[in-house]
Amino acid sequence: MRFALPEMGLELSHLPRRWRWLVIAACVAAGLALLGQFAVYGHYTVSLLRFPFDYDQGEGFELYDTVLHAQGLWPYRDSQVFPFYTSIYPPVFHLLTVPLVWLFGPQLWTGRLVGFLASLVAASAIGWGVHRASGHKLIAALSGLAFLASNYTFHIGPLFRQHMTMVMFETLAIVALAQVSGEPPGLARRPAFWLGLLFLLAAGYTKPLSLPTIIAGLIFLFLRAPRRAVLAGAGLAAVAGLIFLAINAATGGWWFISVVQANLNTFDTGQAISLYRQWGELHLVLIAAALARLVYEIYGTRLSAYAIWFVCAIVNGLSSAKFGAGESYFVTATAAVCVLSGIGLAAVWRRSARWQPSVALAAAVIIPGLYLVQARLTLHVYTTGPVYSQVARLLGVSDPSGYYDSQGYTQLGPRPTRADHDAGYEIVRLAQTLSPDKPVFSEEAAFMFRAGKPVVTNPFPQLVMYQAGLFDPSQEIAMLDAKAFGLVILRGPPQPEPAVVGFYPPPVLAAISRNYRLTAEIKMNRFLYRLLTPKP
Amino acid sequence: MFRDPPLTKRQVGWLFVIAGGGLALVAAGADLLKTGHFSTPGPLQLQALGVGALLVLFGLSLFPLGQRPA
Repeated sequence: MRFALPEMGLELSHLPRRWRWLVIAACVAAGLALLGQFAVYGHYTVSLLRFPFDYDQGEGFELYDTVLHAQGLWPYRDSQVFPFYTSIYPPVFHLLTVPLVWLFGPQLWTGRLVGFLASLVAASAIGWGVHRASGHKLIAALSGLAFLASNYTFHIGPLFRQHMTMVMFETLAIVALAQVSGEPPGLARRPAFWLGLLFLLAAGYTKPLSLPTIIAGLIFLFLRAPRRAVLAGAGLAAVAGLIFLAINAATGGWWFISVVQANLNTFDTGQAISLYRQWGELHLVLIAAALARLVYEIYGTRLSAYAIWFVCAIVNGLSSAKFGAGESYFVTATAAVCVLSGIGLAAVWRRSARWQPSVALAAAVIIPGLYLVQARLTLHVYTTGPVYSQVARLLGVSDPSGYYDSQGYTQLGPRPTRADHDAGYEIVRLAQTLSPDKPVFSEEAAFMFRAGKPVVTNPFPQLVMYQAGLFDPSQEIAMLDAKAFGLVILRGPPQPEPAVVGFYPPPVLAAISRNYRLTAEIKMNRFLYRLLTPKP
Repeated sequence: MFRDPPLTKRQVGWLFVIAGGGLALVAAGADLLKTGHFSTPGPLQLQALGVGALLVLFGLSLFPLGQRPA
């Protein structure tokens, strides 16, 4: 133990001997709190891996994108003709998942596992970055765990979504570029430089939302070696542009329409302000530490890649004003905050060795204490069942709903129950029996994989493309008017609402309402699934 | 091998002054181009002016740091 503590960055020899236990206790408490959150994350992930239906609307369609890629087909298509399908997401995440789909078939757990592993890689990269910059293993570990303990990482990590994979590539890119100093032997001879550019490219082709991270990486290179940075930027743009043109040509132009034009949605400033406020309140401690480090780097030393990334990621929060955006738009900012605050706090810890023993002691207790407070700010825990109910009582967050989240009400977080599994299989059974010969018009695709039915439509892309004037629903409406679908499945809020609500464009919902009637309502994952059959 | 020295704090300061000044000029000149729907400066215009002014002030604050690498 005597040798292990300094190796972890816990150099205590400058502290009063009789109070060192206090520092160790604070570090253990912070570590246990964050490890506890990680255990909850692991439990949630296992629950989702075992759940074969959509937990977050749209997961099944991302699985279908992956299936198409696995068959050597592009998902970027003309969605105005049957089967009315297109994807608005770039392919990297789906391509990473393709081998699992080849091996195990169209299963939601494949992409969920990739997302979860991506969050672990991102957290490890954060920890490694902090350690490389500070040499402080304990704070490096706390920084990585703090990222995993964020409510947003928790909610989104184990979903069949490309977002966490994007964050992983962003984090890897910035950590790699941060190792580049710009001094001889120069950028081009450093593997970290090329690795950083490669990860930036991968991030961009995982989700275009990574653009501010690409800009941050290039700004950092520009500060260190401006001429070479311009060359690097031009080279990156050329490679990215060639890939873009190649995919666009291969898809007959539908790549540009689906991935670029369809993603230019309407803005709601109030939504962005609300998300900024929520993110700020949940990550207050780490944001304050990162801001302090940013000011120090601006006026006291050189700007790191992490500081520039932090600023760009926070500015990028403005894009959360976009229709359809949500908390996931702040996961990159959370990663940047974790790494920059970790470097700042580790620097303070190191410097405190030169201070008066009492002040150094206060710093050594307060720093892990900050991580403990941060863990409380982002607390999310199940409140029923063995261990959880006692822990929830101890923490004063008992909740009869079975789940407490410091964020308040969230759709993501609670584990699917046995009743949710049964409900999903009941919907599958009804899809097979109520529509034995015809396709099913479903707002979620996972039911179709289980029912052995073709995937038809992708509602959210249809809606945003309709809003942008890129989607003419006349052929879809004609098929609905002809009652060509044996069943319509819509997901809605559990409150009594009109039967026809959903992500589809209003004229499509009107056509459903005109031609289909409510046959069954099934509750799953706190949503009401409405099954509609053709009117006589 | 060509010389490719890092930017200094003062140079970065200049970049912010130029960017902020440019933004403020565009915002102030929007009325001359008769864009927007307001007879007086609109809210977006005022916000852009404010952001431009902040960028200029931030850039100026870097000037005293001189030739230190950014």
